[in-house]
Amino acid sequence: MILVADPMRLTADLLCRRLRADGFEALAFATAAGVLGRLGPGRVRAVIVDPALSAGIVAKIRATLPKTPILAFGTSDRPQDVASALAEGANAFLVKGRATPTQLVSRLNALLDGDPAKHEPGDAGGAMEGSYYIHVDARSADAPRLAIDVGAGAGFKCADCGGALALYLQRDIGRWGKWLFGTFGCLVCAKRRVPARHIASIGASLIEPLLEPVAVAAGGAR
Amino acid sequence: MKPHVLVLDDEPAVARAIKRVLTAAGFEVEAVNDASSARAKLRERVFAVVVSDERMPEISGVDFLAECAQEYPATIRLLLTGYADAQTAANAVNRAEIFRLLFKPWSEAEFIAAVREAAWRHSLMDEDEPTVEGPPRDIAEDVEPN
Repeated sequence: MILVADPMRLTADLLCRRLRADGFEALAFATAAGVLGRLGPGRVRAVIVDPALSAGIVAKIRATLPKTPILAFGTSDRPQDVASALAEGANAFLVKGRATPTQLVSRLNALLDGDPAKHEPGDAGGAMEGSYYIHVDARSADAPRLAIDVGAGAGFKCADCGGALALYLQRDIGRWGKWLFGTFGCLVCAKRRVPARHIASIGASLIEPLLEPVAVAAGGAR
Repeated sequence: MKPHVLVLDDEPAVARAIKRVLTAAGFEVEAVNDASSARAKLRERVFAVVVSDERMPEISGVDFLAECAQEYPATIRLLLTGYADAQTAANAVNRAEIFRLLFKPWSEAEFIAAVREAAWRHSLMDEDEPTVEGPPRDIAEDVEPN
């Protein structure tokens, strides 16, 4: 069952109709209480939710369904809104009016297939596949602090399951793609973490200097 | 293909401002200043969203959008007004079946959000599914190395 939660009931109903046409079972909700009341492990395969439904709705869903894919789907592409949804536990963020229904279904399928890194056109940011160096500015943060912020354990592995961490960089469309913001995600348990201290201290748009992609050198080290 | 938005406002400066905002947000925007030009545009192509001012000299926004609702029911309609009394609001809902009533001066973020929501609603009802994004490209192209 796919749960669709949108403040506009008709929009949620239309999306459900589309999902059913693609072979999914889907239920529409227009209130936070409604969708939270239907969460149950084993029955819900994924949740598509507009974060505008209610403050902290993604975190509340994630608290009940720790491993179920959550696709945040809102009208805002501001980096702080996207980062907030990802930090609350969304596996992906799509923007209404930018992503088409076909792209949304494709993204949903990718999440259900266990490929959290796959992005489709219409995502808040496109995928930057490859290897990147992370330059941490010693004046504002350092590597140990970053590791603490993203909950990394020994060897910069996921503190929860020990899986490898991936860095997801996303374009901030509102700044003509010149800025990036990043989240760390576990490739095993798919838990996402935003280096919140950096965002809080210097602003989401300024995370880009902390995450500086450069040409990949042979051997993956500089 | 980007979602097409038609903007009708008899004040050219307002129409231009709306076009600028929506174009920057990724929409394909046509801005016109009279209803006959708007009708001509609507005949040319499918618009996902129509935004109309309420107070115009030759026709009210409600009347124009009611006409759109008859001729192009799948196009989502938004009414922009500086002031709406109860009768105008009732007509907007009952006759023009508008999606949103937006007030001047508008918040840019809320305006864009409303048009995005409208475009999404249209795409759920439309098989062509326009999107503001062009072909996928490597995000790294947008990165300016320090």
